[in-house]
Amino acid sequence: MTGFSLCVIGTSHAGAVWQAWKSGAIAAREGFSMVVFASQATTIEMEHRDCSLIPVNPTVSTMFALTSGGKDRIEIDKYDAFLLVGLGWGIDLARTFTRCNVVEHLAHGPADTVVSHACLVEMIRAHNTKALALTVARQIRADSAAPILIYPTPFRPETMLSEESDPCLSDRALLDNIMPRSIAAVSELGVQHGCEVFWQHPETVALPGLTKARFAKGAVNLRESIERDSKHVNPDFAVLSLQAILQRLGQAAPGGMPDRINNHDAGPDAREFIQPAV
Amino acid sequence: MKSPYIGLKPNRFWRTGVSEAHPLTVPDLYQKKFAIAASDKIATAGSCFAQHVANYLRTNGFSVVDFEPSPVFLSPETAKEFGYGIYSARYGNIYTVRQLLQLARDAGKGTVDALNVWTKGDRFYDALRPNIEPNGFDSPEEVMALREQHLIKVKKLFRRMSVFIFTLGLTEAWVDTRTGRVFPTAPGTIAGDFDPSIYEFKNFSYDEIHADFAEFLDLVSARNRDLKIILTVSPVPLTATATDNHVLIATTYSKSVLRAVAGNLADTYPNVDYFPSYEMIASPWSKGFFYESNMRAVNSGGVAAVMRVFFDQHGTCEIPVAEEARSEEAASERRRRRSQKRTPRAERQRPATEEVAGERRRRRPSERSPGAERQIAAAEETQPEAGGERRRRPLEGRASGNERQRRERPSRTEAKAARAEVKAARAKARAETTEAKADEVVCEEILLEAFNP
Repeated sequence: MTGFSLCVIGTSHAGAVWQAWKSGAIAAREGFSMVVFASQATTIEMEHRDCSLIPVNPTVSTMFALTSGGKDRIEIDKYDAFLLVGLGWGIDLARTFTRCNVVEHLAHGPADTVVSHACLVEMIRAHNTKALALTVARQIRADSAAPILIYPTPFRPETMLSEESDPCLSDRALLDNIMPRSIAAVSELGVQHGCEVFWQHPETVALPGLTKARFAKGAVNLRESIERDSKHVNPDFAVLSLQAILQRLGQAAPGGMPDRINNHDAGPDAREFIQPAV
Repeated sequence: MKSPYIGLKPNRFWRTGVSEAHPLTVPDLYQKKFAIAASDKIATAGSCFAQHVANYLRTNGFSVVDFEPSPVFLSPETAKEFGYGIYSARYGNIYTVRQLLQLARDAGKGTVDALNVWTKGDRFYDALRPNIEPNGFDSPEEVMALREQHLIKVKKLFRRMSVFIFTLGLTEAWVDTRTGRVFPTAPGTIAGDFDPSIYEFKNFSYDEIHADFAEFLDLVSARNRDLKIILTVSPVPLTATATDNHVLIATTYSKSVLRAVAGNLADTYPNVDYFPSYEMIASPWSKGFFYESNMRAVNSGGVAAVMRVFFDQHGTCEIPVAEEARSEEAASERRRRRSQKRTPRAERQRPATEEVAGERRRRRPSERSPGAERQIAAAEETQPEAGGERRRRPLEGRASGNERQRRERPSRTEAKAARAEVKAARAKARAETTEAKADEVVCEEILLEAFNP
């Protein structure tokens, strides 16, 4: 059986993916390998040169080397598929509602910028057109026809409902209206750029647009494991997503059982990864 | 032998004023009635042609207000599809004076009527502005709630604008016989169904239009006494007429009536001026060269020629010295402006409000258009750390300690993002200047071809 190499490029959300992979809970085919290039979202900018993506910022180079087991650049032609994790891609209703409101908000008091549902969906789509994920996808596409999958930033955990004052975030009717349309619009945007968007596993979703609280417990980012986090998720979440992605790529092990334990992969230790010396 | 025409200026005679004059050098075609100051908040409304006017005013540094600005993230193209950024509020095209009056009445009372919701398939449209949502609204409730919000903004706009530029477009309209309301489009074109028992055709007369505008003026002036109005007549012919006449005859009738009303209003009211864009585009003078091949849409050269005449008179945000000198307040304002010129950029930045879409032109000996300068300034304002200001920071930091320097200095990423934003704004400004120049070149070429065969 020939090997299959998946290149994961991501922001802090790749931390959970990496840990899920290292945990051995992912059932992959023999010959499947995964290399993770991750760094903090705000610093990732890559130059496309000689069929490679080379970080502009030295900190990103360091992080890439740390997360990939020594590689400071992404050699595009060495991978069979790409998984873009986070990179500004996703739907964050809480954030969108800080910029505008919908008519449902009027039931809770005056609102300044009220837009239609259709316009809100368009705003969410437009926000994703500026995501780093699309920039990276375009850079990859210049040299490779390999599948590019996008693993969006996880929805905010449902725990934020108690923290946030916006009552519309728990308005089921509104969410049922907005979220499927937004997901369809953003997915279509991905397709237009030659990418397939892999939304989070239905089992992880509490309300449309919100992640179940249990997946936020022990959330992981690139720096540390956090007991409670308003943005990140834990490796259990990533296991579900990654398993589905491998299935899509035809790299899931038959029968859903691991062909091998991933822990014997050459690469940095999980502990090293989540507490980088930077 | 005496004649009342002896001794008149050359522009009073067709031969010297028109047939022998070059439309790009039109002396004395338009004499402004009042000046537009830098501080004036300009609002625009009307038919399609008014869109061009607003764009040019913004580009030339006038403060064109927008009380319903585009939500974040939307590209300018998408925003336009959703009716944002076209006029000073999201009212879409206002073709008839009755429609304008109706808007002012509704804004004053907050009137929203469920009868003005049209449908198309399973989507819902605001019949009074059916173009603002490309695919309609989700529900009648959404239509009405957003209309209510819109009227709140329009009310504010009508109270706060200081110059209102309105382009009169049509005399023909469709009226709901149940409510007496007029619509910008006929039912059944964008949405809704045409039911002859409900909707009837109306071709407004001179008297009706005049009375409607007078009422509008009364309504708005009651809360906005210093309002100045500039009227124009759209040179865009009718797409279709519902009269029994040929569309050419209907167009001539419609434009003639509107032109006559506008002229009389300008003669009657000291705060109403008429700007002759219609004459420049539609008269024999320009030989039809300012129209696109469909002989309807006005080409970019035509708009550029018209606006050149406008700016020849109104300059770019001029401040009339005589008027200003009358008040001590104005004098102190002048002193403040002078001192601002000496103040470093970041210190004199005022917070951008959503209402002010245009900023006063920053005068520089530059090739860039004033609007272009404004964009750069706006980008620099949003990232005040970028550019020269940031370069000055390290000195301050050293003077007051490294800790402060660290605190004040932006992160590399922030600074980089700021620089990128300024760079993008400069590129956009360059593109805009090039575009404006290209318009003028097109305009010159068309006319040179026309007059020097």
